[in-house]
Amino acid sequence: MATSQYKAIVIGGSAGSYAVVSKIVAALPPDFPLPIVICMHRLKHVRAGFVEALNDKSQLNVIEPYDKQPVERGNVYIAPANYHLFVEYDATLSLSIEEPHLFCRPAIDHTLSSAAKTWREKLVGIILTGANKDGAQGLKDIADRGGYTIVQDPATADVPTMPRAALRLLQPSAVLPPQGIIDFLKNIQ
Amino acid sequence: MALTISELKEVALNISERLKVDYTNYADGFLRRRIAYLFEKMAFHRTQDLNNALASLVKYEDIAFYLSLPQTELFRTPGFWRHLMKVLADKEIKTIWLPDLGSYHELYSLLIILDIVGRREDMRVVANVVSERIKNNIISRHVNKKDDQQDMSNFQRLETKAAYDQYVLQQPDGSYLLREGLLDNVEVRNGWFMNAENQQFDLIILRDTLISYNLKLHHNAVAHLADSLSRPGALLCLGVVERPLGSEDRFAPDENAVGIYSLIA
Repeated sequence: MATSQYKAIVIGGSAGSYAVVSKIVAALPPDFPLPIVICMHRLKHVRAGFVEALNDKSQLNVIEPYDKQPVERGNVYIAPANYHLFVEYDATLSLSIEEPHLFCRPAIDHTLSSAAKTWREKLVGIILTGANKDGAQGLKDIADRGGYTIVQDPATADVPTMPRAALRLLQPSAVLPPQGIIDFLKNIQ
Repeated sequence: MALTISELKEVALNISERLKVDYTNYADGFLRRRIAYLFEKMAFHRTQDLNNALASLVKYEDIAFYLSLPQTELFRTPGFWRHLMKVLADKEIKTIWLPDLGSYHELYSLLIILDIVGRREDMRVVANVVSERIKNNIISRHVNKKDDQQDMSNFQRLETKAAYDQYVLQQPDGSYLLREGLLDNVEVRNGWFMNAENQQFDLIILRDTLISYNLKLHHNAVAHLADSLSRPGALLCLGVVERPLGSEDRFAPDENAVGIYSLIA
């Protein structure tokens, strides 16, 4: 896969997705060529430890971004608890306390849809296991703009609701188990 | 209704002139979403509908109300408020400013904290609000019933012996009010804080507002806030995802609490 084909990876997940995200960040090499933006539904009061635990496993730098922080390779950005995470047109990250979406803040739809508008066909979007349909529309927005879309195989999901919601809205580029997602990412040169 | 870029700029300019708030320098994404929300709430179908409403004394206030971004919970990020309780034990803090309230939440949270630590009566609190309706909500001590469970949950995380229902009281009609008397020593002013004449405060709380601004307005706002702090050591409290961009050299971060900055000079 050509280096210039994609500019970023964006991942959304909910119930059960922490384990998958852990495996993903642990598997990627330190010279992984693309920045990764991750929106996971998370308990609003759990701040300390969440990102640190991922960072311990990762050879990339896992961080909760500040508002207006630019997106750069080598980093994995995790949406902070109780904030929506958006990607702006200038490839910086913005945060917001606007109303919850589908009872969720951070909302996966917001992150994926805004990323779609910024990176269009140069974006890989991934939806993982989860307990509601947040993220389905966001992944469709990525597909509609020519991005590459992956849905975790519902048969491998702790809670298949989110992947199934995505599959009802779009035909993704691939439906993969967690190891298949990891293999795909590792093959991005 | 999706506005074009030029329509968005025109709308932002018109609203800015009428409300005396610089929406032209709000962050693009936030402004687009907030104006979409405004259009939906006020059933605008074209920009001329907005212009007509801005000219109307009644509807103009609705615009100010819907553009204001409310918090949705008392004691948001309870760890901040737990730490602030310790900070407020410092008797050198006598004046507090909340420069831009989109709702009652930050102010009521502060007032309850002040009462718990016994500093409410000797503290002068000033709050700025753009929307007259929000100001009236605050003065009437209104509390949203639907947020009650979240507010109580956050309050419990303060780890205080005080009881939530000492402060937020259910009324016979099922509504909720902030306890009477807590708003004593509080001045709620209309108008955007960037237009406010320079006053000095020992503590400023402006959390999760700078994230709505573009970088230029963010820088200007932080400089204005720095100039509004009374002395070296006076404190600026921002949201945990915010930094005092543009004036970083004027502040030292609190090592014990994210989002709290001490003025160096």
